Order: sequence, then structure tokens, then C-alpha cells
Amino acid sequence: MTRANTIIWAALMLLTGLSFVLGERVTASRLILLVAGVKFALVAWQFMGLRHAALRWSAGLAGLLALILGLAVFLA
Amino acid sequence: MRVECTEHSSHDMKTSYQTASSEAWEPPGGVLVWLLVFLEVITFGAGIITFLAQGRDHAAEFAAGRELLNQPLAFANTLLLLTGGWCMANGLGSLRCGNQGKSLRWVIAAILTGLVFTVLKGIEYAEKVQHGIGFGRDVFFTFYYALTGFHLVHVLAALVLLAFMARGIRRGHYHREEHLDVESSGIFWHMCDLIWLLVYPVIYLL
Repeated sequence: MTRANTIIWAALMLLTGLSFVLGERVTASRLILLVAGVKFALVAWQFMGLRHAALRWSAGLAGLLALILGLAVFLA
Repeated sequence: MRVECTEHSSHDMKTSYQTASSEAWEPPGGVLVWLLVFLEVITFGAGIITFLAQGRDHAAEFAAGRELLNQPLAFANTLLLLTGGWCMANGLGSLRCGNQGKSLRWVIAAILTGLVFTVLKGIEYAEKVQHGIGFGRDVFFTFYYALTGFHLVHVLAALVLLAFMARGIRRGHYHREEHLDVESSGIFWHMCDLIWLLVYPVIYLL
């Protein structure tokens, strides 16, 4: 167990709690999607080890995430 | 690419299959599993975008549908998947450091979180079916079952992979120098997290 993994896990738990609370508010859809994007990035970066890979892999996944969340924000 | 032994951060090591020329190119777990990750994110992303577009045309139906969803169960499932991801990351870290016993315990913990996720998802579906809410009831629930069901299939496939990895670690097939399969399976497992992190807010929270 590493400290970095545990810190990221704790952050993910807190962000999930925040999403759940924000879900009660009708006006918070953009914030909910932003939090989802941050959680996605944290899992990919830390747990999946993208921080060790060439930048193109992180950039590709970040671009895909931005495209999906951008469209989602537009439609939500 | 360099992947450190995460229990002793000063001890850097490469994954077993990598050569010096591939270092700068290949992500953890190899290229193929990452191509799969991209394809799956694209597939689920398209599903989510279509779901949201349909929600604009059926706003009242979607609002009513969300009222019928079990929010606490979905919240618990999100925590479970993320905890399973943490367990798997620690399991791989332990294996890279040569601590097979510890690695096995982490991988088994990841499997347990996945099994509980599956049980809770089964309870959620059973609740719906008991109330006469099946696949095809309306647009909202057609997408609900399609997206969450397809995700569940991925979780089940990942659980089978992790079970094989746990057996391999226990039998000594995977160790400090040989762990590419565990790394790739871990990426597949984390991919289930990534997909859920997009599906959960869009279906349950927005």
C-alpha cells in the first residue's frame, strides 16, 4: 500500500460524496460532470499508471474525456 | 516508461516485457489493453451522449425515471468500485516489490469489492423488476438497463480475469519480474471504474 494510492482513494471517496450531495440540487449538473471528470483523471493517472506512460497516452485520454464531458455539459 | 516498486519508492524497475526502445512508448499493461480502454470509453461515451440527447426530448419521462432509481445503492456501488481500484493498484504495487502474499490479499480484496458490487446491482435490478420496471418500459429505462447492464458484463469479465490472476500469484506464476498479465488485467479492472464514473452521474445524478 502506498501513501499516494491511499490519498487518491480518499479524495475519490470525498468527491463521490460531494457528487451525491450535488445530485440533490437541480442546478448542479455542470459541477457534477466536472467532479466526474476529476475522478476519471485521478483513476487514470494514479491507479492505471498513466503518469508513467508517454504524454501522448494521457493527452489522448484527456482529449476523449473533454469531448465526452463537453458534449454532456451541452446536453445536460 | 518506468514503473516503480511502490512499496519502496527508491527502487525503480521496468515491467518485464519492456525493452529500452519501447520504454517511451508503451503504457502500463501494454498497448492492446489501452486500445481496448479507448474503444470502451468511446462506446460508453456515445451511449451517454445519446442518453442525454434523448433526455432533452423526453424530459418529464427522464425526471420520473430518476425518481425511481435507488440512489444510495448506486452511491455505495461507486464507493465499492473505487475501493476495488485502490486494492488492485496496491496489489500490483506489492507484486512489483516481490511481495506475492500481500499482492494476493489485495487482489482478493479487489475481487470481493467486485462481487459485492454485482450483488448490489442484482438487488437494484430485482427491485425494478418487482415493480414492473423492465427493459423497454420507456426510453429512460431502456438506456438504464443497456448502459448499466453492459457495464456489469465488463465487471463480471474483469472478475474472471482477476480470479485467474489471483490463482497465478498464489501458484507463483506471477512475481516481481513477471507481472504483465496482472498489469493488463488491472488496467481492464480500472477501466470498469472509468466507465462507471461516466455512467453513474449521467444516469443517477443529473
